[in-house]
Amino acid sequence: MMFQLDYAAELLPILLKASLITIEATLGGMAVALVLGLVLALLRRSRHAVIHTPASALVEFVRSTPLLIQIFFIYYVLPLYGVRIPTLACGIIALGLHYATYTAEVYRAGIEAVPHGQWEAGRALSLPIYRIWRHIILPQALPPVVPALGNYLIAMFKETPLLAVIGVHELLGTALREASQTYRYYEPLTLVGLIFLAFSLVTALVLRRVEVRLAGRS
Amino acid sequence: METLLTTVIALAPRLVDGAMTTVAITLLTAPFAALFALIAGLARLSHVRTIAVAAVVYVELFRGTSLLVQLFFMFYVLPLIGIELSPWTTGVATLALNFGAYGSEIVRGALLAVPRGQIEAALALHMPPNRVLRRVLLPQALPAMLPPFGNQLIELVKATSLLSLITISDLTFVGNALAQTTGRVTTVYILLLAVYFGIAYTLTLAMRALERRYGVARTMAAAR
Amino acid sequence: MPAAPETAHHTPPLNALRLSGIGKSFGGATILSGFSLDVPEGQRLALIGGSGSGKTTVLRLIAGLERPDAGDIELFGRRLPYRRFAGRLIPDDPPEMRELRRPIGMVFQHFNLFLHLTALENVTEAPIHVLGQPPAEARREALALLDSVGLADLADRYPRQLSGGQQQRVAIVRALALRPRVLLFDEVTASLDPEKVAEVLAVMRTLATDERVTMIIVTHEMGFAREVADRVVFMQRGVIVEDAPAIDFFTAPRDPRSRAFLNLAS
Ligand SMILES: Nc1ncnc2c1ncn2[C@@H]1O[C@H](COP(=O)(O)OP(=O)(O)O)[C@@H](O)[C@H]1O
Ligand SMILES: [Mg+2]
Repeated sequence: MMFQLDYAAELLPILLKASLITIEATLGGMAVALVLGLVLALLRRSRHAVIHTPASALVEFVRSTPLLIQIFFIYYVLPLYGVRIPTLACGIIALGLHYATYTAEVYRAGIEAVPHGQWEAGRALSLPIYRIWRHIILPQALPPVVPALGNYLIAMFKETPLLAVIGVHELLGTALREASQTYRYYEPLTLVGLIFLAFSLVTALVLRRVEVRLAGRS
Repeated sequence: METLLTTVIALAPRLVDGAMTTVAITLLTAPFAALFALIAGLARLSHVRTIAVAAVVYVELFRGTSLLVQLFFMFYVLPLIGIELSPWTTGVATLALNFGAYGSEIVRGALLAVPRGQIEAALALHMPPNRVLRRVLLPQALPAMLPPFGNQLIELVKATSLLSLITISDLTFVGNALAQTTGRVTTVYILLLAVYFGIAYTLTLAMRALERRYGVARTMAAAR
Repeated sequence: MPAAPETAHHTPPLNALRLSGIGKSFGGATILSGFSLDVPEGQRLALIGGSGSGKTTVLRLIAGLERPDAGDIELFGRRLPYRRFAGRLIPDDPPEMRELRRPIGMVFQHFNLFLHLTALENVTEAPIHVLGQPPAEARREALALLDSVGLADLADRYPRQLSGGQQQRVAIVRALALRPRVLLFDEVTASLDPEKVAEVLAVMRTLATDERVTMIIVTHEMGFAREVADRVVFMQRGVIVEDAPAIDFFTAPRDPRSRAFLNLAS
């Protein structure tokens, strides 16, 4: 079986268009993961067991179970309880929730790396807790963890094909749809692989530059 | 509650079957993944350029593309070019290659983290390179690899669920089938998540025990 | 191994070491250029100089831990065949290089004992696996050597369970176990607590009485150098400033820079 270049050429524009959905899912998922992860990280630092215990349990549980099932859960179970969400949004929520448990760990590491004296200085000035977090701790905790967050952006990007199972027509879903019409899997799947490879290499390069910039600033 | 309990009991045998399959896939894949990780991690540090380059290509290829895409590629495309593998072989091989690529970074990092003085002392004692590797580098690097490998093992358990998409009757496959046939969607998916959590948790405990035995703290005989 | 004609017996003042025209730079900074040094067999040479003058680099070149950019190193009249090494984890020297360099032993400032091996295992590793000594014999000799430096009781301890002075004595024994003909010491007391320095110097003093072993000692302990060395080479910025018999160097240094250094050091 030969790789047919004209078929591949015909597919390429379709797949590149589908990659926009992939990017949309990635960016949407990352937005959720960034916000939810920070919330979870802060909740886990609460002094009250009623707050930090469930937050920790949620993080551990979601982190230890497959994203694929979480996608199914959100897609099939939530509508049974009247929660109607568009398919792509289901995917974005699942990705975001799953990766929030990873970003929460990253944030935690960043927060713990801020010297204790910074807290004491904030308290000595009798700043309200909100201002200490917002203006003293987080501005120091976040920049160093940007590269680690970036790595999860890449990781999440590579998990977006899972959304094909609930019918999101991102890259893989589109490739499979095309393949099922022509019965040719070789070209679509190879192209998807190559597109992923290209994206990964480019983002890795960009991230490295960001890392260098950040390192230069501090 | 009565009906929930009976549902759970009715579902249990099939879920247990699926869980056994998931555990089997994990335990079958892990040693291969570790082996690939070790080989690729060492190869990347080789003096022979072609070996080092081949390792980089392998690692970047599998890290740069998506696991599910790799799985479908192996499943749908390999037969077309004359390579006929069973779904099990396809699944385990793809998982092992994928996790081997990620693991090679762990191996490489741990090897490079061995203090330079340890290698120099070995060289000053005229130990041959193989012996330096086996007797000095690996024994000091392996304990440092255990915690990240433990995390990878949990990731592997989660990733095995993708094999349900290439017709393997693992826990996810069984769960999806049960959700459809019984209509008890909520119960089935919650049970599914719980069983995966149980497997992951058990493996976490096992890895911690391993670390206590062979981890950095023990093998380096940190004083007191 | 290629057999070289054995002429050693009839040419008495054989050089244990001959460095000629050695050049070495690190990332553009030239550390040594045209560096030459002959060390006759059995000599106790003290290599001294300020920090950063290149003493460690000279020892590491001899021990094969660095590769010269230019020049030759001869060991007992035989040129060491260097090969470009890629600077990966382990240098890819030609196999005969290990054989040629086998007479050299080195002791490091930071001991570099193998952290996952006991003191005894540190000592027996190379005799068993490099010399091919039977394990029982290697252990017996290792214990005797450890006993001679007062450490027989601590043979089963791991490095982290030993004091710095004890670790350094194990490291010396580890080097001795290969019966070296050239011993390199790189500031072996510099990272010890002051009260542990004497115990290590005592071991080295005993070693220095063995006339068959050539010793190159990099040290800041001027009193010790004066006591054991036959010859002093004083370096500054990669250049030999003064090369003199030890008595002359310590009683009447010729170069003003040597004088300044000695004044500072005492
Ligand atoms: N691996 C290296 N990379 C870069 N510079 C080095 C390296 N090793 C030594 N140098 C430099 O070479 C010079 C001589 O170092 P060294 O031989 O250690 O001096 P000494 O032992 O006399 O203090 C120093 O300026 C040092 O910074
Ligand atoms: Mg030095």
